[in-house]
Amino acid sequence: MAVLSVRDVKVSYGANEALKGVSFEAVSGAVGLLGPNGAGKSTLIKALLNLVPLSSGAFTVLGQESARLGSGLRDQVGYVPESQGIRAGLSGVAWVALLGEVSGLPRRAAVERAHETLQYVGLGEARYREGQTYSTGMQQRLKLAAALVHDPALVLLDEPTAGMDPTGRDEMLELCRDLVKQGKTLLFSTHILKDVEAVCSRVVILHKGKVAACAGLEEVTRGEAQHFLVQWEGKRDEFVAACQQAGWKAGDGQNNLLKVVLPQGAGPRELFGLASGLQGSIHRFVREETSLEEVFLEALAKETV
Amino acid sequence: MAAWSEAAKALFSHTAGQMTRSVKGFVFLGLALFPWGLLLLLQLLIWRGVPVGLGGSTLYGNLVVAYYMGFLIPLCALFFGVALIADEAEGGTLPYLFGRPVPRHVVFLAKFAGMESVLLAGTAVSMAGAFVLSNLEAGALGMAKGAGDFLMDLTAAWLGLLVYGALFSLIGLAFRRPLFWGFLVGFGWENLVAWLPGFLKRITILFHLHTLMPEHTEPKGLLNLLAASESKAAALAFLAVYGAAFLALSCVLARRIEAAHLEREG
Amino acid sequence: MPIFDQGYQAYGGERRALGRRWIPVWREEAAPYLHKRAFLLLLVLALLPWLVFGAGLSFAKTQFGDSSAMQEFVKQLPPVDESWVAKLLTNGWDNFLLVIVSVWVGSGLVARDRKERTLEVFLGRALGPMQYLWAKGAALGAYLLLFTFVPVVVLVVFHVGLTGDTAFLWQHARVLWGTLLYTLLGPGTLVVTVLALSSLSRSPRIVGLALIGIMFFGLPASAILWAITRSPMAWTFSVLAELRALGYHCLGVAPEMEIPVLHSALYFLALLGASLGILYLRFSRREVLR
Repeated sequence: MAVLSVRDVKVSYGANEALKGVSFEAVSGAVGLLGPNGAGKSTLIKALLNLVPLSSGAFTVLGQESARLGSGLRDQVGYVPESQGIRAGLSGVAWVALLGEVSGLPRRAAVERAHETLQYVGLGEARYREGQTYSTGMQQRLKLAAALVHDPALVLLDEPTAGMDPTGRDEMLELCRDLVKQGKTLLFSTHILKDVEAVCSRVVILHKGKVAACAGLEEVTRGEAQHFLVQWEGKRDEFVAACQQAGWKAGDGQNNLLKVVLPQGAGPRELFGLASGLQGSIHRFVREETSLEEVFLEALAKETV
Repeated sequence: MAAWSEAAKALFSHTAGQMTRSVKGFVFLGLALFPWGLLLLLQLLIWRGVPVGLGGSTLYGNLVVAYYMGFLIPLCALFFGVALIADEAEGGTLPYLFGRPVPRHVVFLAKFAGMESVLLAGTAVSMAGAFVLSNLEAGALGMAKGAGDFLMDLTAAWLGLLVYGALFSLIGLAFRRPLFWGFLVGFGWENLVAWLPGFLKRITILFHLHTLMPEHTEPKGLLNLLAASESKAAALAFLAVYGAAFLALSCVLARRIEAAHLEREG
Repeated sequence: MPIFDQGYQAYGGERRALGRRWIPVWREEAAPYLHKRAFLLLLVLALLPWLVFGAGLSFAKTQFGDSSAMQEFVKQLPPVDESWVAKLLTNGWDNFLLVIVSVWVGSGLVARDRKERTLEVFLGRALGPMQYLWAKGAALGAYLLLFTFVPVVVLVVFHVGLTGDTAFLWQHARVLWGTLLYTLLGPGTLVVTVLALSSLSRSPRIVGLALIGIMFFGLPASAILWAITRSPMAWTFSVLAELRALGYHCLGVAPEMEIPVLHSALYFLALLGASLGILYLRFSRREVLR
């Protein structure tokens, strides 16, 4: 059963259609929600929390339809907002405990859970200080603690590493990976590709309110085409021309090697077969993983066209 | 000196321009034009032969005391005065302002002057229009006769704006909840204590302003009693001292302020 | 060393019913004021006139009633009844306190949450806009009740206690239920209006200024309009004047401003309707979150 299933969700702000029929599923683990600024990532997260009304479409959380259960569904969902989202004048533990109570925990349990989650995110020492005195990194962790206090099955994180220094970012990503190991499902919205690569097993790329790509991370980076880096001992131009004649893309790659892109159906056998008919030899042969960045830019380019 | 005098002029113009284009500025305009509406209503009723409770000049006197002095001037001074620096803090632009090579008290005074220029101009137009509309029956001659009293009223109104403006700007800089304290002082202390017998009323601004206003624009009896309590020169002196003191303290606080302190204010 | 001292722990305990989720929000909003000395001083100042004029009257009548020297003086003292309560409940001092409390407690109810972006955190929980607004409104409502109804109860307790006149309770039952009715209709409507205003801005300061402006604009404007037209409709500009008239009507006393009871009722119904309309528009499509 999918933890989160989004079916043809549309959201409009007046005449502006922010989401134009988004559909995807999160079965388990961490799903990265990637997209440039204005793609609709935050709008989608807010729609899932009923913070913006849906124009059409629906979603289910743990198999339960959003329309039928209403606010009770949000006991299963935690939310880390992008900006602010911390009550001034309250200590970290008081704020998290308050949100625990709002999520239904009895008062004593809420305070205990607040201490636990703050220890978990590494704010044990600072939990009695007022939230607005925290650094940016600490505030992000405070928001994560607040999202976890009621032990939700699904956690929606909107730019959780925004404004954090490299150490803080690594620690936040480590926490996210640990949450996945604990059985939580994360929807990790960000425009930082490295964060998605570090945490997520599945990626949804949004562009201008539509899903530009949606697949497992390995699947997306490997892609249908196969990319190879080749060290050719012989006339480079001859080799490149032969590849192009065969209908393969060939050109300069990294580290002075040649890059050859073979379509589905062709493999190393065909490449070596072509090379054997030329004057020269292949001295090095490495399969190149497509970076998420390339996939991301390609998906955006497709959507733009 | 030349460098930051240009900055001061720029701040003055910017503050004044912003006030005239903001929602708050339009609210001020609406409040300033309200007496015109009342007086036009009165003239309409008179023209249609409807019996009315009071005449134009009496209405003008009531407007000056009850509306301008009792409401518009303290409210607008509170409205804009507490927000003078607080708006910049809320908008996140205070560090940019205070980070410039311009003394902080100059920043404050330039903004204060910009604010006051709009308030003084707006009040003058409003009161002048109200005076004209209330004396339509008396004609040009009647207006000329009453011009002296109108000028005294206007002077009192301007002094009120300056001194209240300085007071509420000081409250805006000094307190974490300036609106609460400003309201308590401007609408509580001022209205309560200004009407008490004894020396205590001299610690209000309203009492001195009432002293400056011509007797015949006030309801008989009560204000005559108060107006007799001090001379106009004394009233002017008190107002000058209060205004100068509030501004001086504001300058001291502006030099010492931390932006974070203001951002915490709700 | 791992960044967390202990691993994640699941929660398997009970969860409170959905209908009770507003309580912690109400408590967090209302409780801090009880720790502020200035606020407690305000409460004392609100009770003071009731104790001095109300309970003091009763004390004077019972203690000095037998003294021949004081009898003439005591005869002049007004009786503690609906008329006297109406005067105390709706006088300038009480109205001023009502405005202070509304501004102090009420201006940040929704505006502060909008400013700090905690509104979406609350509404993203299983709380819902209705419960959220109920919690916030109840925080202000509790204090307005404290400043209006509770002083009357204190007065009645002192009066009955000092005079031993238990018949007062049913002869002047309207003192209590009339005040409660006034508190629900008048200050109750004010709570909804404050919530509506607070939902329109991100700045509690602007909301407070708007409240002060609306409350205090009306008085001179209405007084002057009335002086011109002598029509009770002139008081429509003044919330404070209408509150006063409502208080008198609820206690069965003719108001000084000659505002008919139907006019009062319709005024507060219209104000309530307009305020609820604003809240509906702001929250139903979540415009308040933008």
